[in-house]
Amino acid sequence: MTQEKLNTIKLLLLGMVVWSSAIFISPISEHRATAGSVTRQPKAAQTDDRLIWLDNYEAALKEARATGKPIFLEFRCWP
Amino acid sequence: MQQYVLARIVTMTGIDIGLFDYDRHNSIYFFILNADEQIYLRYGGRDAEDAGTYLDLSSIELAMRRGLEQHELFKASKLPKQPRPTPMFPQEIVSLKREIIDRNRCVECHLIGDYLAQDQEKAGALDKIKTLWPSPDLKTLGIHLDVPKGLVVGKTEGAAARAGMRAGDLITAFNQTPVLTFGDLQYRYGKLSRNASAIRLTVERGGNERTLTLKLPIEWWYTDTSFRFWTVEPMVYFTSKPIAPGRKREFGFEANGFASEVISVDPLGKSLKAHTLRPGDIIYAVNGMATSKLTRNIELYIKLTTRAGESVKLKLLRDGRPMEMTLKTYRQSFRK
Repeated sequence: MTQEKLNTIKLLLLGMVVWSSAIFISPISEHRATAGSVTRQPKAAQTDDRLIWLDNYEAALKEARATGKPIFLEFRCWP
Repeated sequence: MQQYVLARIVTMTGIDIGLFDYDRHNSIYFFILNADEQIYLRYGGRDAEDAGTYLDLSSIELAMRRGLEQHELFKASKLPKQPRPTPMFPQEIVSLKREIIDRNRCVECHLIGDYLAQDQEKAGALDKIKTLWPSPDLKTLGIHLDVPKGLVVGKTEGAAARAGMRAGDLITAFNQTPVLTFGDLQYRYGKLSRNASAIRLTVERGGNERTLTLKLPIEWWYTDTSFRFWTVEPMVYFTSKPIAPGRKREFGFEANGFASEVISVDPLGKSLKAHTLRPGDIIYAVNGMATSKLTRNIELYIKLTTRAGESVKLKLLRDGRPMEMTLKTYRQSFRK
């Protein structure tokens, strides 16, 4: 395995740590992403304490306009 | 993180790459922006040694806090509006569209840099120094950041130390443009004209701001490009190293010239009849030029001034006797 591949794996691990930290320590998100769209969930769904990562830029803009929040936008190679 | 809308993009199709401009050979890169697409800051960047040198959880948390501060300023109308860069989309890159988009393949970040450089190089329009070395290394200036603390300087040497920068300084602006993260700083530094001779860095020290002028060394933009998939065209099929100043004097070469001794010859170059160089040859001129303001590395000089497929005339010493030789360059065979 090349050093570059090792480095890429390290980065992906860092991303996973950030992501999983968000899942375990963050409070409710009232929005859920579907493929390329954002659907507002009923209030009852707010017991779900996971943060949702949108996979669509336009959906993120729409969400930011609706909530007044800034966007944390990540570009990465798959996965 | 719940104070943010979180978005993760893994294919660049449909993304305005004019707005989201960054060194495409980062495996991961972040922007913090608002719904008006005003970018507050960037987080990411790398050096030649490691893709993760400047990434860690403390600094990303710091960046996210700074992003929230910027958003509050924006909401209070205290953040100046910035002009939006000219939009550009991946499908405008001809070879990328043909090879990737039209075949329904994933438009990965690095492919944008790869194909854009390829199209520009074939058209003779590639600014090699800026495009192939997009991320100059601050360490070349003697700036070693305390990475978990963002733009706090951990150690200085060289140009930075001479300019008066000290450990503990917080870098706040690059040539008067505010920078909030390493990503911001490296991006601004990368956009600097390769002919620049100095930069101004504003630092905060003990509650006071001061602006330091750093004189840029020769080849300040140069970094090892081996981590970049497509490296630098054309291929020259030899390696060399500049000869020592004493030997330059002995042979009567200019002190700042790029006289270099051939260290190794690539067998592929022999089979392609690219040249007949031998280890020990001392090359002292390329197409009649013996010096360059940009580099003292002779292979680099050829790569910077020659398009793949062109030939150059070398002047060299072999066993102390002067001779001339033609070197034919080639394009990397695996390149798309």
